[in-house]
Amino acid sequence: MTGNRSVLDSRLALMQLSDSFFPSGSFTLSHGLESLAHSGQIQSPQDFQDFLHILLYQKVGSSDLVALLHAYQASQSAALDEIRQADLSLFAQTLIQPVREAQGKSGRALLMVARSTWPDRQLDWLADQISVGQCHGLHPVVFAVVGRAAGLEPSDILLAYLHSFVTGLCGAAIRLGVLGHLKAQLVLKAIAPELETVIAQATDLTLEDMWTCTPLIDIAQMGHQHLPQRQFMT
Amino acid sequence: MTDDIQSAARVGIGGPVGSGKTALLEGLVPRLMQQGIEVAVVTNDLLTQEDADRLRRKGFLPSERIVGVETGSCPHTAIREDPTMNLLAVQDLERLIPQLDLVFIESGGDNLASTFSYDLVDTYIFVIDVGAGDDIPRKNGPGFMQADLVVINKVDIAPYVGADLAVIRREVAARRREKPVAYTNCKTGEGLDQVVYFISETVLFQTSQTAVKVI
Repeated sequence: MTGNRSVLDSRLALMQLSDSFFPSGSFTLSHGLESLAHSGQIQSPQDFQDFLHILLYQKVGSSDLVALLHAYQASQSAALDEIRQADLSLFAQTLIQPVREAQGKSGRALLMVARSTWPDRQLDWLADQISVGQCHGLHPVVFAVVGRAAGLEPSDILLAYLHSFVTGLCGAAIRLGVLGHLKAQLVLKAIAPELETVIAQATDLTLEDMWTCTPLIDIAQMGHQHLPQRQFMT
Repeated sequence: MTDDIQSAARVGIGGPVGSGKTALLEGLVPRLMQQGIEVAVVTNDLLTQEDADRLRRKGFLPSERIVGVETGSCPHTAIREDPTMNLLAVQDLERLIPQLDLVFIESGGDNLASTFSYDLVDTYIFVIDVGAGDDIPRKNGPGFMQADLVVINKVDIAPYVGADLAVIRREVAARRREKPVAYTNCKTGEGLDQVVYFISETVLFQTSQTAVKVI
């Protein structure tokens, strides 16, 4: 009975953390989509799916998830220096300033709500580290420690992160007029089998192996703040 | 993160597009500053940072005291379901300006249903204008009904838009009962002392010497 309760708690925590209703400011991020939609480089559901594919394989799976996984393992063994190292490595790997700032802001937003929801000493430590500038509190790293505090298994944390990322972007795409609510569900369904591959890719990499290659999206992110009209932070 | 930092009072300003939220701020901020209140503003524009830029151009607040937050086309989410980005903006202001007394959070223009989370603000003001019609109070919008103070703005244009102020006053009193209402013309400053009084009394816990009680 206790085992069933524990599994149920973990599943419910998984749903709570990956739900777009969970307040962490993700609805203000478009990850470059707004710029690309504005310039006409993304116009159709297929364009959007291609954009997701590139982001997942050439950025999220090859850097964000790697840092997340290392931070989770460090969190499990209470190796606080290694959590910090995952954060610093990801910061160094994230070359575009607006992206670093957005990662930091959404990490702080997540941490603020998570500390209230799942009181945990490591979350308090992370908040202190950010406060004194020892840690950037990038979103994937905070997500890892929050996931551990909420009692999630590593595979569930990775899935929760990817699910939140993909559904958040679908929401942004709908608001930008790139696709409608029905097509958004089809994109989610189409991309789902790929998430496992993205996770496998991340699992094989060390912090030193992290890489990204998304030049078009990087340029779009850099130009975002110069758009005449903006709905999103990125 | 900011547990050791003094919290400033937080006042939300919501209401439909064009009702006069930014004009209200332009009237309130100088009046509060004259009383020695340290003020900052967080704006939530639907697009760009138009309202933040408008306030900066006015020049009555140093630009670092005006922060714009993008809301991903979801102004109501940013002040209610997920106000985290606004909270971060307030925390950053509190960290930057430790002597801060008061932060206004101006919502992006929304509809009559927009309400603020009390996890974000201590109190909030809902602004409507008579140009939207004298039947607005009858619609019982949650923003209008639940706000701690309703501001009926642009009272000067009532005769030109076919709005009957007497009808508005009657409907407001019937629906909001004892909850306060201020009638303003933000362009001339008419009625703004009542709003200052509300803020002073409600969140600053002081009563202005010159202010007029809200009717």
